[in-house]
Amino acid sequence: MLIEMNKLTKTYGTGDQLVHATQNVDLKILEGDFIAVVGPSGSGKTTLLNLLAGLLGPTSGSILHRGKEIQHLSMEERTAHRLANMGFVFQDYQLLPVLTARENVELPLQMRGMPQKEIDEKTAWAMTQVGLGDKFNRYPRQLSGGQQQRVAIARAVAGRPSLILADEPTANLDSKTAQDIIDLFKRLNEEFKLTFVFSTHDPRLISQVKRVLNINDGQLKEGSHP
Amino acid sequence: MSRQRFLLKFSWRNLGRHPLRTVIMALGLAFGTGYIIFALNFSSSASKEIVSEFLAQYFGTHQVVAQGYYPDSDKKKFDANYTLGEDQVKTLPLENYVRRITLPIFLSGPRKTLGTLLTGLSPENELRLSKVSKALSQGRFLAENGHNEILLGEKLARKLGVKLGDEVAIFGQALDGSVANDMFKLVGLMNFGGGDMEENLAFTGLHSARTLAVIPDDRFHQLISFGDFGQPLPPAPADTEVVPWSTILPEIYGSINFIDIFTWIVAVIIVVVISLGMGNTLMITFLEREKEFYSLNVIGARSSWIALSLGIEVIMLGIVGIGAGIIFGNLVTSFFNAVPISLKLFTGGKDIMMGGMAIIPKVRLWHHHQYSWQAPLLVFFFLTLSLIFPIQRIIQRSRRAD
Repeated sequence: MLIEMNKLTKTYGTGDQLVHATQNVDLKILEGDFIAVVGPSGSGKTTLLNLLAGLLGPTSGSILHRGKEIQHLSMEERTAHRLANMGFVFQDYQLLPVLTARENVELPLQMRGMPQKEIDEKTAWAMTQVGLGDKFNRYPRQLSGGQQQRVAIARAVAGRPSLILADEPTANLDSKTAQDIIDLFKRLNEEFKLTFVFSTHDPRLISQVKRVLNINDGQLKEGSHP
Repeated sequence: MSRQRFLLKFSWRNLGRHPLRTVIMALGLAFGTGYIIFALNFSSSASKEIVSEFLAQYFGTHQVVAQGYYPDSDKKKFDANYTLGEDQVKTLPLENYVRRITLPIFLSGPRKTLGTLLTGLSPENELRLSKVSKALSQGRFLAENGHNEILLGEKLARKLGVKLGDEVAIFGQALDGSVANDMFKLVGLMNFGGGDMEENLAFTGLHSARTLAVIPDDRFHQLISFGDFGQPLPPAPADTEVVPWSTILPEIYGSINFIDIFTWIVAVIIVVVISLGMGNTLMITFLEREKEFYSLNVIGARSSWIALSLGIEVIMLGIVGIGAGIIFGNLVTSFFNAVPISLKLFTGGKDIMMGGMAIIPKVRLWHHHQYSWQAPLLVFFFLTLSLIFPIQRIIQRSRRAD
């Protein structure tokens, strides 16, 4: 079991203004899962992803990553846990403009304090996997949107994390590029058993995942492909 | 090691995000630091030049007197009965000293009789070491072997009603208790710029003063140094006291210190103003990148890593800007070392009066090397303070996530 959420609730506000972003969520994520979290805006998708990433602490309930409870960790400890175990792909790529594609991919590996030789190997592997082996030294501004998202994916997978979280990864891409990115996710999942959890509205992505989780008003239900 | 190198590269490139903004900040730091170094060098050099010019005229940098000559610690009074002997001071480098006798006397002319101070001095040594002869406005300076010659301040001569060639009567008390009295011939008039010195001082030869006050030939009151200003005081020979000018003229020493302190206060204010400007610009730069900091945190950057990268950016900016400022400040100082600044520029063309004398120095700026690290350190300290708020926001933001 990779992730186990038990009765996980996240509440915002106080008194009459209480908002339950997630309510008593029970969820199990297995190694190699390929999951889409689906729901309307404000349904709690991003909160769920943030809880998984440890960016938010739950109001109640527990969340275990490979059997280790992470909800009691401090923010700095959760950041360290995230660095060691997770990759993150953003809707708007969030590449650092002052770093080249290669350096952007290197960044989390450098923060982990890996030896440079290992960093070079992992970076080269990730860049090759996303099909940008020839664009190592390009800056983000010199790449198309799809290429930037590939770099972001390479950054997320380079450290071979146990869990990759992607928040609307295809929302900013044209349909052809989006399909390419979905194919890339799928291949990485199938070839390297990387576990992906997407927050998405994109029917193309939803149709290709192994599991669909519907979230509405903070309630999570196992769903089916549309 | 590669992690640190990566962090340095990341911080350095971040400085290039807004090249114009970075250049403006670096220039601000450079001009600010340079100006402070120049101002401090100017203040110290001006103080030193004014004081050394002033002391070279009459007072000297320090005195050696017999113990008991100054009965009080404030050195305002003296007791003429305490004299020094040549044998007492032979260990001192006497070529840098002049011997003087100082006597309170009454000076009588056709118009008035006035109490004043008669200084007996050795003309030859004074011409060689002090600048007292430069105040001579009419007549001639004392002759080495002149008998009962006297120099008077212009104002004093006017009050007494005497002119060049006239005689004045002196009476007072000799050291043996007898009445000292004699006639002295006015050979020269002194102009000290219209100050108190012109009303209160009269000069005669050392021999004439000794004869008047019945002082043996090998004795005198003061041994006055005209060595380098700022040199350490020599150890006092037995039964003598070495008195620095700052003790004899505490009000002037206090004024000079005040000017130096005031310059430092102005320097600190400038640093604070520069730092506030820098801090504001840095803050804007950092706040523009808040989303990026969040993304960095999401992909695993601890707030300490982000704060460190910001710190390195500021340090790099500081090294470039402040480094340029050190060079700039020292270049300007070197320029004004070669081309001294006339202080008349700041006084509307008038002389500076100090201790009753007019001072007309040209200030040659000297490098005071301590300012080349003290001023930058001060700028750097305040620049670092500008990081506090952005870092606090980064930390708060990461905590707020709960």
